[in-house]
Amino acid sequence: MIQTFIDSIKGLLNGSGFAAVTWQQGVMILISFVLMYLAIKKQYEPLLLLPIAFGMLLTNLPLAGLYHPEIFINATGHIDWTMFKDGNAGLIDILYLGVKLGIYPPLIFMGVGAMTDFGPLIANPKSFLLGAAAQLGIFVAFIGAMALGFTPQEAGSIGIIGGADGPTAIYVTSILAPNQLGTIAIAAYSYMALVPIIQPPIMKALTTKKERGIVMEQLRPVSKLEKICFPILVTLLVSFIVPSAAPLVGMLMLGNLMKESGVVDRISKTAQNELLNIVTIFLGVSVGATATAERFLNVKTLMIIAMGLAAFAFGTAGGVLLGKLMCWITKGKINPLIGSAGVSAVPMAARVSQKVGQEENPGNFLLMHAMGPNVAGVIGSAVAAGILLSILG
Amino acid sequence: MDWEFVLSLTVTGLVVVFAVLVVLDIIIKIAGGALDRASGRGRKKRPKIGPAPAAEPLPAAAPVKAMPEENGDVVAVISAAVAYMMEAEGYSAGEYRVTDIRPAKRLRRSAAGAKPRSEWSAAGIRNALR
Repeated sequence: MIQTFIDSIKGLLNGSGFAAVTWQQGVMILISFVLMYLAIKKQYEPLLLLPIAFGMLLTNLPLAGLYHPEIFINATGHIDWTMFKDGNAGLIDILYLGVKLGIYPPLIFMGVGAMTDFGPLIANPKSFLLGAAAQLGIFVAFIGAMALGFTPQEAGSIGIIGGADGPTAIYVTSILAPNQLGTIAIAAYSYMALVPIIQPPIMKALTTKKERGIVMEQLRPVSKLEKICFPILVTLLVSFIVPSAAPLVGMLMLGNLMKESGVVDRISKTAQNELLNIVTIFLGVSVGATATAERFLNVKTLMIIAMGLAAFAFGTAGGVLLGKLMCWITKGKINPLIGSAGVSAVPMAARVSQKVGQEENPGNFLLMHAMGPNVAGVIGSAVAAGILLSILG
Repeated sequence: MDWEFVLSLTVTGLVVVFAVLVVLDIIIKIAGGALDRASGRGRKKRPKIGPAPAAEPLPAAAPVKAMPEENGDVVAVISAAVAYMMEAEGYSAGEYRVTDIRPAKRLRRSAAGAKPRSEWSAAGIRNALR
């Protein structure tokens, strides 16, 4: 009887995670703890970093079988549906379908659109140029990643980190380089959280004290009709020129139209709150789950993190430099600091412009002026994503 | 590595991003003007003002009494509202001057025919606004 008991305990131990865990999984679990600490204690993009970190923990649990990367990343290049038919797919496999099929990022964009006020951009359409200039980081990081030996698809996905837009980065990477999704998503969200640390030194290095102190003219009021027409015009124009950007831009503008029309208040609120929150949970957990030990613990991860930082830095510099040019052309009517907000990261980047501006002139309120390039950056990064998808996809 | 491909994608990408956003800039400007005209409220043009007459000094400002510290925020808000309204009317910062901010005369409720508040009601309001 005692022997049977001992055998049972041995069987249980041999079948448990303790016997099956590898050191790589142990390291990944520790990394997930670090990310959870950053999300909870430091509040770095907690809404996404927390589910991503927990997804990372879940996927690295030995024998749990929640996520099977071979379903999505295989020689055929297509989803292996047999695992689903046989009932062998795990919970995260099912949730990950929303990423793989490109469903979650556009839905998040719809919620973002329903929360965004494009008024500052409509009032000052020149902001579009700053939103375009800040996409410089995407293409500089693309060149850098190619030089480091990444494939063009991986390099495009790494570059899109410079768009400072999590859903866009996830959308592009899930199509071009799904094997790097976890790393790229974590890098993108980490750097977005670090915008207040990354941007100010670059902004100060590229501008003079006098430029930073420029007080801009008040924005004109924008009518409701203009706000209603804006999403329709943007959708038509962007989708006609770059059709592959249509899912992101179209849903962003649908959300905005629902908000601005004022006639579908219930749907608009759902898009902003319940739907956005539900999709955020699914997206975060399933993207975090792609960070398995064999994909995350390698030199490429370090390179991606370095390239992501370069993308953010060059994006910021591109926006500020065009801001300086516009300042010179307009004879000092534009404060170049608002250019840095063109990297998206709404509204964090705009807040950074405001803060750096106020350090020079406490009576200077740049926030609304910076919101124009900030939301233009969202459109700009979606357009850049569309270009990368159409060329590299 | 195919540098020609890398550079061509980079240049194409930047050019297309700029082109799309420049076209959006132009279209939004045109649409804004057209919508204003259609709604019959064309944007007010700022009155063109020549160089300011240097010889004509601005009227001396009324002596401003020292504001108590806690009124600073109120004055800032009122000044911002005045600036906003004046800009909407087409005046720029140097073309007007706020010389005085005075409290509006309060209507006496009892004098205007309304019933005076009871002590209990007044106490309730005081409590809510404290």
